[in-house]
Amino acid sequence: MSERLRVVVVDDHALFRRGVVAEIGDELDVVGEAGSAAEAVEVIGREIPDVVLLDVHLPDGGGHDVIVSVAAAHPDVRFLALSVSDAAADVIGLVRAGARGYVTKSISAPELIDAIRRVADGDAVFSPRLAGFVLDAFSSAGSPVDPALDQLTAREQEVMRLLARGYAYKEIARELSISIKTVESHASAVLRKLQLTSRHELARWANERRII
Amino acid sequence: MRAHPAATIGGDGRILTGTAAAVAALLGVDPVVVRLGFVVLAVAGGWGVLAYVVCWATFAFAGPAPARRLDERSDTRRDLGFALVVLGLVLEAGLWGWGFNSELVWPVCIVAVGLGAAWRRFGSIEVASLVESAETDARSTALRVIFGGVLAVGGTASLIGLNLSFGDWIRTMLGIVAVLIGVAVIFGPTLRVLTTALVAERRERIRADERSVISSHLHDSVLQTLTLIQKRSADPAEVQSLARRQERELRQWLYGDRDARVGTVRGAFEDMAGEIEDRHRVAVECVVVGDRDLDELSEAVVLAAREALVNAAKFSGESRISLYVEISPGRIEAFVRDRGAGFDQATVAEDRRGIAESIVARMERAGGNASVRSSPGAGTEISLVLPSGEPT
Repeated sequence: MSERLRVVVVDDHALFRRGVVAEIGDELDVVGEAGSAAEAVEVIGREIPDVVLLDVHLPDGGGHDVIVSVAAAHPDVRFLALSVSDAAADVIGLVRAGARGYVTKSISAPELIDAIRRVADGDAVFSPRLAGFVLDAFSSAGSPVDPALDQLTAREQEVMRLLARGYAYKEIARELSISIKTVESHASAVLRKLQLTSRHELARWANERRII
Repeated sequence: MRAHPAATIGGDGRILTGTAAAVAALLGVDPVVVRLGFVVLAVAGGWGVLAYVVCWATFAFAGPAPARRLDERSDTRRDLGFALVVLGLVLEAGLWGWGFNSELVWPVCIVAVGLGAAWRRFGSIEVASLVESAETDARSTALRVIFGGVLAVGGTASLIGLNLSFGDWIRTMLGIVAVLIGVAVIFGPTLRVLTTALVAERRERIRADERSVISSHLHDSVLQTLTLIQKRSADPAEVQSLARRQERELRQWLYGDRDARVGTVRGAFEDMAGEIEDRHRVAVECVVVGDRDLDELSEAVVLAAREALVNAAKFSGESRISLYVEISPGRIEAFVRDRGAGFDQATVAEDRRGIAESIVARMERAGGNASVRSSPGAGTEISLVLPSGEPT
């Protein structure tokens, strides 16, 4: 690999930051760390990294605020949400703000590195939980306002179901006899729908069910 | 019964016995106004003398208590109220000539006793204990209401019994209204302050209760687990298992509505996954989509999935297992997947086949089916489908 990805880690727990840096430091360049939203905005603005690993909960505003304040000035910086929270409303808020994916903090080091690379390439990263959450949100009853945005295609649903079952993109590609690129484009399409859909069921669902 | 802090004589600003100063401090009006009131009432038929003696006796027997600070006792509004009370009493006295009137003395005394009781109630008891009694002492409240009602009805009846002319009646009413307005002006702010204090007190107590619930929960769960983890630090698997269980419990406590989960398929799957995590020291990534009420058939799927998880935990060699459950109207699907050793389905060991068969048999009894997909080195996935379940 000629060029190592530049990563900023944002989490209010220094201990956790240190753990992440130790896990991914061999493969990626951690160019900055931040423990609060204000600090994160400053560090990201200075370093302009490829990927920001962003905790959902921060003492002064949360990951959502960070994305909102950085996105306009630096549209190329990509965000991967990282959380123990699992509160649907928090995660959906971050994804809708522009995060390219969501993984839980219990993720293994190789998987995390893989997820960061994927996000840097512009792909979407779904943990099984996020996939389950998407399926639940989009399958809840109610007529769609805009069918192109408010519904998943059959193929997208299949991809999400396999992700929820714990399949990796490679395994999904084999299972559905399609290329990995196609799997990735389905996942990106779902992420886009998640960000653009206006269906109110999504918000209501997220509020009603606090657990993914 | 404790005395009001200011209901004491012989304090600051005394001229004779200090009674007027004490009354002034108690009501929060200027002592000069109180003295004037006593004098005017004394001239208007000797009532002032009676009132003075009653007040003096009351305060003398009430015992010493810290006096109210001088700077907070004067208040123009209260002065005005006190003046109105005096005016009303003078009007009453004027109606009945200049002198003691035994027929009026008793009704007025009764009213005075009632007001005194009310004042002691509100003025002498600390807010905290007032809140206590307001919540717990419903019987004494009822007694007080009955007592007050009897007093009011009795007083009114005795006034009517005096056989007044129409003009006298109007003047009496004016006097009573003046007295009532005066009383309202004097006691109104006190009552408002008390109500505000009561609300604040209640809110504070609710907050304190919440804090104690949280701290006792943390003590029973997280602190115990942390202690255990320190003791067992030599055994990584045990520590992992402890931490996982604690995380699950805390997560459930923070985000999950325990009661809403009881009796639902989702709740049953999540509880079962937690039990497997504890028992077999593996991580079960449990994702559930949809929900419905738990019944016998859906319970069979939970039990079959449980066996599949046990199977994976024992034989796959993997420490992480995926459980995905999709509950849609009329259909439950569950997938248990590991990326572990896998096996050749044609040459599987006898005991292992037994588990797989018991899963299949269980699903078939419930009207569904199960399939196993596995090959050496590629992990195992067991799929369970229950097609005929009733929608909610």
